[in-house]
Amino acid sequence: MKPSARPYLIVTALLLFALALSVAVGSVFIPFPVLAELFAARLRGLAGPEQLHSFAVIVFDLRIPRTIVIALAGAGLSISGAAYQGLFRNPLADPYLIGVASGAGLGAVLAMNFGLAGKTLFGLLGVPVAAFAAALLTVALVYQLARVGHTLPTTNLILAGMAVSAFATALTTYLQLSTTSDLRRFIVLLVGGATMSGWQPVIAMLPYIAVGAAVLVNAGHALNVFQFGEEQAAQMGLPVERLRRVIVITASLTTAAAVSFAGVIGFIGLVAPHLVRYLWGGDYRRILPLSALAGAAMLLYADVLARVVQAPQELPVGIITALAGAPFFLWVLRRARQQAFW
Amino acid sequence: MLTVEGLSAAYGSRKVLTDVSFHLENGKVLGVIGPNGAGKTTLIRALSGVIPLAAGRVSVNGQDLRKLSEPERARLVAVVPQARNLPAAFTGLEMVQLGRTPYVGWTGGLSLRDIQHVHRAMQRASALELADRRLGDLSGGEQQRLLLARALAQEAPLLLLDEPTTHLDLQHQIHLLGEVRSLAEHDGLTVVMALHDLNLVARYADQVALIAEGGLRALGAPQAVLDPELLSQVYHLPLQAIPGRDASRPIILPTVL
Repeated sequence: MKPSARPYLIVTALLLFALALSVAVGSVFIPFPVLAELFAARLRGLAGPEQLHSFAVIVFDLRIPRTIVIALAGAGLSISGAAYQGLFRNPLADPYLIGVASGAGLGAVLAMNFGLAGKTLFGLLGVPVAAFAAALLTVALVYQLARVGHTLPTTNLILAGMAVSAFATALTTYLQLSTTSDLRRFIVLLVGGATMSGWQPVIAMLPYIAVGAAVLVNAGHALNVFQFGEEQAAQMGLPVERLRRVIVITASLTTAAAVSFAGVIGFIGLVAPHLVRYLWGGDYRRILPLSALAGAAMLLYADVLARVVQAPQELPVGIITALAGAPFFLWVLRRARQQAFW
Repeated sequence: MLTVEGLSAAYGSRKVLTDVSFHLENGKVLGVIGPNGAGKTTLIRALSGVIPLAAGRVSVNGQDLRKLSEPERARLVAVVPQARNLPAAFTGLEMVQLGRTPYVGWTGGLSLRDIQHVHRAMQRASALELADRRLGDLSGGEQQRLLLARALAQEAPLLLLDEPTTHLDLQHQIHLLGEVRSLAEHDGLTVVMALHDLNLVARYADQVALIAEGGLRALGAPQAVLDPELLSQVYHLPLQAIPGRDASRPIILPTVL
């Protein structure tokens, strides 16, 4: 765990290639030289060659925003996952632990039931905004239920999260059965995948993910201290209650933003931090930023795959992350058994 | 200097400690003994400030611990916990560096001064050669040395140890307690340690506190508190005193031995 730039260089290179690939690949393949030409024209403020106009629309209005949404979601889910795993000292903790996903699902189906699909709220599409609001409300409810005085015991938090999640999921299923509106979009949200196109979702989710990631990246030292248990952390001078609250709220907000605009994408928040920990050790000051970068890259590769396996039809990216993520996770688990890395 | 006045502690409605008061000068070692469940660990936890006091006051060098923030408290009180469930992936150095938490910002960046203190603490606890080893690969004794170094890195005048010898063999028990003794004598640290072994307490403590049924049953010099009759009552076991190498420190053994 010596400080070194190598891990950062590796994941950044993987991320840059993933970004380029994600912009190039889709129902229409745009070769890299053409991409370079389009970017060069755009940077000089020109419209670009006439015959490339349709490519320019695809690249700048569809592919780039989608690529950013997917990258932000991957980064947000992975860094939140890493933070939850560190905070709860539980390798199975994931970004959905305290009910974010089921809350978002309930919000989305409620919005559809009230006929908000395709309509806008505050200039933003109604369904993701409703999902986001419901996710935050769910987390606030779980937090209130789990709270004992001024403390927030971990087991309470997880149990309250499970109970509230189950309740929200039951409501969602009931509403889903009685709804008449566009179920496919809802299913995409629940399985994971960008549910809307254009720059709107980018603008809507960027502030939350950026602030969340900035706060969490700086929580590395605190999470290192948390690895010794909360009692020792307090004895070492860490303001345990305050930091736990900051980390839980930040990670939940980040996850809620990711889920609401990119759907409930499983396994990324589990796999990326574990892979980083396995490759580069248990120091949270590096696990957090590396997880964000690696998670963004991994989700982009999964999304590219989702676009090409059944082209021209697109699969929800959540199917790919689960199909590839689960066996990969088991492989990491088997290899890691030789060295206690948890 | 540690002053404890009327300390009571409870877990919910169950009272664990009632009205404990004592005073300990700088450079002195207090050994806390008592049967399982008597409240030794609770006393250590209460002194370290991690459980709220039901009543009473704990002050270190005249400062009331309840009125301090966590970092302020950790600059006055450092704890050496039992070595168990330590995160395996950390190296010895990384763990000891975390002892500087009360002095660093929340991103944990260390200054040159912090690094010097870490080095000195590891030297003091004979843990320098463990700096690059991973905690998961170390023995209980080695982990205990690193935990002592971590506590010393906090530069606190009061050092608390909770059963520090539990997982150690005889050699390491004697070594660790000798180290603690010298920290009190040479560095002026005030030390409170909970121990099971009455004879180690007799050898290494200046004062002994006997805790029984949630209260302070006896407090004083080892030869006064380590009285076979008193201890037989408290431990519900007939005990005898055998003259040791040092006449003022008899060896206490169960009569069945």
